[in-house]
Amino acid sequence: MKKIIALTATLLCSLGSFAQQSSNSSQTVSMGVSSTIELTFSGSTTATGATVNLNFNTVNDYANGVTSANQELKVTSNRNYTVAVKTSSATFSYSGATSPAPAMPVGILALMIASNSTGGTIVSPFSATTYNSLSNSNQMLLNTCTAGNAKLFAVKYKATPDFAYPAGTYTVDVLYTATQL
Amino acid sequence: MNKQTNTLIKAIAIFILGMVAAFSAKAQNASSNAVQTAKLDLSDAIELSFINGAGGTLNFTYNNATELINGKESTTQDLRVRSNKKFKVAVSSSTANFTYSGTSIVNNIIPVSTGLQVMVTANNTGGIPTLSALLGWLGLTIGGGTTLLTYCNPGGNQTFTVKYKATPGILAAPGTYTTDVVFTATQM
Repeated sequence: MKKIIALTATLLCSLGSFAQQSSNSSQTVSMGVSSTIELTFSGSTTATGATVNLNFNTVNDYANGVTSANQELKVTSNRNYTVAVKTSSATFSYSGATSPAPAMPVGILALMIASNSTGGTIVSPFSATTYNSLSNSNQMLLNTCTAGNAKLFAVKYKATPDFAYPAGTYTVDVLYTATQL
Repeated sequence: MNKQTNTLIKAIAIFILGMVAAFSAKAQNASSNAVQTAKLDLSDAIELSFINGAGGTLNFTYNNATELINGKESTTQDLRVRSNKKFKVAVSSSTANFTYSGTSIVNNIIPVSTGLQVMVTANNTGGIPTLSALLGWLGLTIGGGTTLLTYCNPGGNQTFTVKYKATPGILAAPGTYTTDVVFTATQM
């Protein structure tokens, strides 16, 4: 009987010793995440979009204006952001036979939001139903857009020079800036 | 300076540095730019059209000698020019003589230059009426016609108004005489 008790005690002792054996080690993983944002045109997949050609061939083109196809842009950002738009100059550059060169103001060129999947809101006076003139100063286009991958929005342009300008080619750059909040 | 003061100064310094760092971080919000060129290609364009219901056939009916001798005037006819450049307006007839339709074989030739005249009654083109137009009734000719208005301004609603006077003359044989009047707007 004493032997049985002694053996049991030894086994318990051994089990107790086994349950207490452990070895821990830890390692810290650090991810250095910077603020990242990228704005590109879907068509070109670069930050430079294809040239938008607006041709005026008839009097109705002058009277009614000419509109472009939708121009889609894509934003990838790890933080919420805004999108602003402006032109590179206050007037179009002119190439043609008239001298001195006519000064066509960039207000001739207007923009409308054709679609918006950024989660952000369209900032007035821009809208999804009417065109609003562009200017050489930054104008907020979209606000509080949500962070994410490949968030899309599209714009389209309308130029209405009326009958005030002679034949020729008028160009201006439209600059978009997406800025994290 | 005691130890408590030193600690307080350090705390303030750390707070200020923290605020500066925070503002710096705010100023450095990441942004990305994209650019697209908008190109407007404008070609010269001009259009001349009748407006306000004008442009249809004008019918003059003569029932007595007085009407044949004195002629008859039409209602006013409004025209509109849309042009992106300055322009001029000329008028001509499609034929030198009226085209006759009837049974007579004599006295059925009426020169348009004497049988049909035109007058500018209103001018909202910004242009200058030529001397011919200023003289009043103007006989119509074929070919390049006669310039009525010149140096008219570009615009989308440049209007002018004319009326006609048709005078067959007492010798005109019975029948129907027709001609087309052609207005031409040309950019300058």
